[in-house]
Amino acid sequence: MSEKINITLKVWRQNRGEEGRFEVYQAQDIDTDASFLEMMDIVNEGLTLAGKEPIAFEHDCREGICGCCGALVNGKTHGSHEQTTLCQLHMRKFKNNEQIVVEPFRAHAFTVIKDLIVDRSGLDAIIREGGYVSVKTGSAPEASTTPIKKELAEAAMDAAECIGCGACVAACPNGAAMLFTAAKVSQYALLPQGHPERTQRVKNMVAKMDELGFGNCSNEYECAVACPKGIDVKNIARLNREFIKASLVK
Amino acid sequence: MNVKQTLLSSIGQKLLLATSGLVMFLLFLIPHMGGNILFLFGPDIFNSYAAHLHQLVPIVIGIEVLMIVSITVHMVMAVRVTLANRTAHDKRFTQKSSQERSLAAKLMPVSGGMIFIFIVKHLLDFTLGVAKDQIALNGHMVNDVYGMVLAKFQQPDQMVFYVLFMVAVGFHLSHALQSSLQTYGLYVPREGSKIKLASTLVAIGMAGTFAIIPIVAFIR
Amino acid sequence: MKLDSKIPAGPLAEKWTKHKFNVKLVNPSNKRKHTVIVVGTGLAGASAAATMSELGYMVDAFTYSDSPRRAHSIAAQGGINAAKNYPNDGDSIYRLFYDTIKGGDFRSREANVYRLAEISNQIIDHCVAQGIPFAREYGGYLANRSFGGAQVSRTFYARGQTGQQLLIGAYGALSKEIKAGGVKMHTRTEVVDIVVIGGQARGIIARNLVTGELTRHVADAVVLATGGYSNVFFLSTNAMNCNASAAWRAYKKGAAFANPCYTQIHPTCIPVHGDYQSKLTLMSESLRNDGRIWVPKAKGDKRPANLIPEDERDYYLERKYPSFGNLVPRDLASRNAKMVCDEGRGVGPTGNAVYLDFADAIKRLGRDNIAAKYGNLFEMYNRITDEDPYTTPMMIFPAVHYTMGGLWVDYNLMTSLPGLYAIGEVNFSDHGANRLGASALMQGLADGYFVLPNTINDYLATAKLPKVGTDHPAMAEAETAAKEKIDKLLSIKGHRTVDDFHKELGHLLWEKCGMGRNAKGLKEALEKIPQIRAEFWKNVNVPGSADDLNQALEKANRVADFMEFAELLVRDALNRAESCGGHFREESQTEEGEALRDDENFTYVAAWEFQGLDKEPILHKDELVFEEVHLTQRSYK
Repeated sequence: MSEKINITLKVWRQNRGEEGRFEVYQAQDIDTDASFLEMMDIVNEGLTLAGKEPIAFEHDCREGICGCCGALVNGKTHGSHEQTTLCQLHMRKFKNNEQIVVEPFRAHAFTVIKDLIVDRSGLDAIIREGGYVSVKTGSAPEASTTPIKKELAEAAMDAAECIGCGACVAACPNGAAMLFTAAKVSQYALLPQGHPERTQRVKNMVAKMDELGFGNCSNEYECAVACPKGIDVKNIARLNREFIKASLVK
Repeated sequence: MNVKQTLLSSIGQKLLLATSGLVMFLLFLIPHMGGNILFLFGPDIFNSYAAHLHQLVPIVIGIEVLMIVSITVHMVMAVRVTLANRTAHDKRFTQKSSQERSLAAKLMPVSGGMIFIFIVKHLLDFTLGVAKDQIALNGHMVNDVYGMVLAKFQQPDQMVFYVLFMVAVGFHLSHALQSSLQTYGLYVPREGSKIKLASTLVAIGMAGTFAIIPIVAFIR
Repeated sequence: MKLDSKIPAGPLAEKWTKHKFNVKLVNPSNKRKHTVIVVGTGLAGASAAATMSELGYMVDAFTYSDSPRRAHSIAAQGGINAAKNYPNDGDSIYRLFYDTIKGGDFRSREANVYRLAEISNQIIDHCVAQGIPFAREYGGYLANRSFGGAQVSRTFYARGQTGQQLLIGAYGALSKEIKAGGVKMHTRTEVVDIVVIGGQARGIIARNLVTGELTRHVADAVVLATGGYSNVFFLSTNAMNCNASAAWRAYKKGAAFANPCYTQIHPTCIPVHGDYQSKLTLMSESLRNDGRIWVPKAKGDKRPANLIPEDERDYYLERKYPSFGNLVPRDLASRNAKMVCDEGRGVGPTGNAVYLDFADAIKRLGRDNIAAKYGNLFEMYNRITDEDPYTTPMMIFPAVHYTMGGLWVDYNLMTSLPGLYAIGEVNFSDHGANRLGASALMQGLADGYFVLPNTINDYLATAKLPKVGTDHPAMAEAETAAKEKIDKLLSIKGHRTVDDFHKELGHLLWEKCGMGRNAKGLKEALEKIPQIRAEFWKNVNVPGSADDLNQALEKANRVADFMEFAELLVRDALNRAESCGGHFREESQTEEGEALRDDENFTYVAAWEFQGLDKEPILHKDELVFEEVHLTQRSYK
């Protein structure tokens, strides 16, 4: 059953081009059935009516699939390490009178735009380097021409579930985007459709990842713990294999 | 990507780090440990081993050259990777590490730095420019390496220093072994991994074996 | 305004092929001289932008999100239909066409729907080639599942994330073209107005959502792929930022708006739990494949589900519609849920919910099987409600989900404003008065990959397009108007938040123009909406400034448009005195309470032309001509 709780919210506020700081707000009578973002809505309504600027935070689908939302809540990406996005985290996970600290996803490659909103366009830039199959509309053969082993299709789907939220980068002690990149490289390494471009794909995507200032993988697996979609480090091993193979091919 | 770009990419650097580390582990650390164990069997055997090693000079020099190269590559890459990672990781005020992240992993740069200090000291103690006493063995005069080691570890501070630094070696290895396999693309699972377990056991075993020598020497 | 649907002559099955031959083409080397603006990067927008760039056009693509991968197409769970007939269960292009026409309660255009069914197979081919990991059988071939409104299995799926996978595929294609230089991507940029020059859509005014800067963009054609207007109801399953603004601006600039009253209420959503609630969450319709819907037979039975014996349960869909059972189309499933709840047999704390029970399916197929099929949905349900659907039945209730109405378009997908196209959910074209499950993804991709890139040539090749620059007076005028509106919103500094107004509007619509509608209620709403709007402009509080990232201002801008649009929606609902599909007029029902169409008087698309905010819009009746299909009372019994 739901109940009402009070929360002290310590949240990061920052304007474009300025230094940030933590500010403290009270959230009263929050229903434990409310989602974390609904709690933020309530706080923002209060701030607005009090003549203050509401907390900027990114969100859209609120179903855990668009990948917009995310923040470090009490030191954890998306507020829990239970394969949940922030929008799917509910207030029943918190205790009455608890203090909740909210900080943006931080990494060198993710600059803060405002409050909890960071710039994750680097992830798009990595995809642009080959996170797709270069097929033009109209040139596809009949869909059932190539049977694909169910296990492979499933493994590709495991990797393809990535929502691009950036939690892996924010959780990585090195601000690396390895899990993100690995998920995409894996999807196309597993499926025959991805094979013609596999050599260039892995090289170019890794090169872009490095260029943008994402860090190096030290195999500490924080990314996989943080991933709201449970994407496994198996994919990073596969990325490494793909990279080695690609380096050996002329 | 040309060869240089490949090797200096994030994964390339990690591969160099892993490879140089594994070279040192396989070609140096393991044989060295094998030799060291002979210390436990008394002066004759240990001195005889040292004398034999002397006769294998070409191989030893080969390995030494390889070691110098490996150490250099390992250190250069470690410094580059660590510095890049420091930059890539922005300051986070509240982040908590998960249970998964081992202390060994966190301390890699620290344990690595300690090992470097240790190697320098170790070379100064036993190899470089150290005049060795001679001792008779089976009618030949040989270096009394046993005596030298014994004398060194009779000093408590030296013994403690060596043992302490072997802990660093253990820590370093326990993450390094499994991590290098993952870097090579051999999947090391997050939970319940036998490779992780084996890595830890080998690290403990090795560090323990190395650490026994100074302790035994101190007691003798 | 004269509406010409431009439906090609000839037999139904040959129309599209013939039409493709008849459209004028643009010479490959001339294509790069044309710039096309695409607003929105969901399934339709991303696929259209990518495909037009492949053809050689220069494309400017816009999204309010930080990345084109976030659009709400991503949330479609169940799947995408195609007439492949892989299961050999009697499917065909004709059957998909017929099911869609019938599902839409005979209020869509035959020619458009047939084309959609025809293209459906190409979509699957293309998506498979893109490396989308569709579900497969053990033999390695593509798997299908069944969906509401059809008796064949024609739905392709990627777990419960089909929309995500298809969108990521389209986003990949878009990324490829951005890299190739054919598409210029403008992220975090929202359209605030459409610019019309010489009677043609020639550009847009956009707002950079980070800096607040207003920018002008010129093109030879403008494509809107901005999705539906479900969020006018405040609570819907749409993403929080989905809005009707671009479509509404287009309407105000001369594009007709068709059938706004056709809204789809999805039967399987998680019920409302509190007034702080920001949105509703959909549970895929595919759950109805194995879940059984029921309520207690007795009114006010508050016992927990497991204590209600089998013979005291009413599996009302199975009882009333034995041949389709739990798989009746969405509008029927929703309306029946409302009916049993209105009778006082609803369950849960609010009484506004029905059970969706998996106990039998778990018994029959085993828990593992069910977990493999629906695991992620069950998990999501558990996360939101804290209940375990493996052991207690799910509780569901209908919620606004999709809007079949939208900008009026001809067969080429061009609106009544020359040079302005509308693709995907933002147009009205293919779903009639009710959309079948797994058809939205199909339509979005059909429009984007295959229809628009073919039909837009015709306009670009034949229209006179004089050179215009961003310094054109019409551009400056539109920018000034946008700026004035923003300044006005910021200057009011009233006592109510934007959300507060949005909730009031949404609540009114849900009550008066939701699952059941009647003349009296609609008239009340028509009176009330202008009052809410007037108060909004007097008493809204929009904090922050115009030259900064300001989410409250973004929302205010969108809600201001909803305030105007809502009136048109209600007006259309009032005009359409028949019941059809998702539009249920309580005055028009059979004795059994089923929707009763009035084909004699309403076999038309209601296309509204803007006359000014204080004036009644003009209704244009775009008659629907059925050459192939015989109109019948829909029956799923």
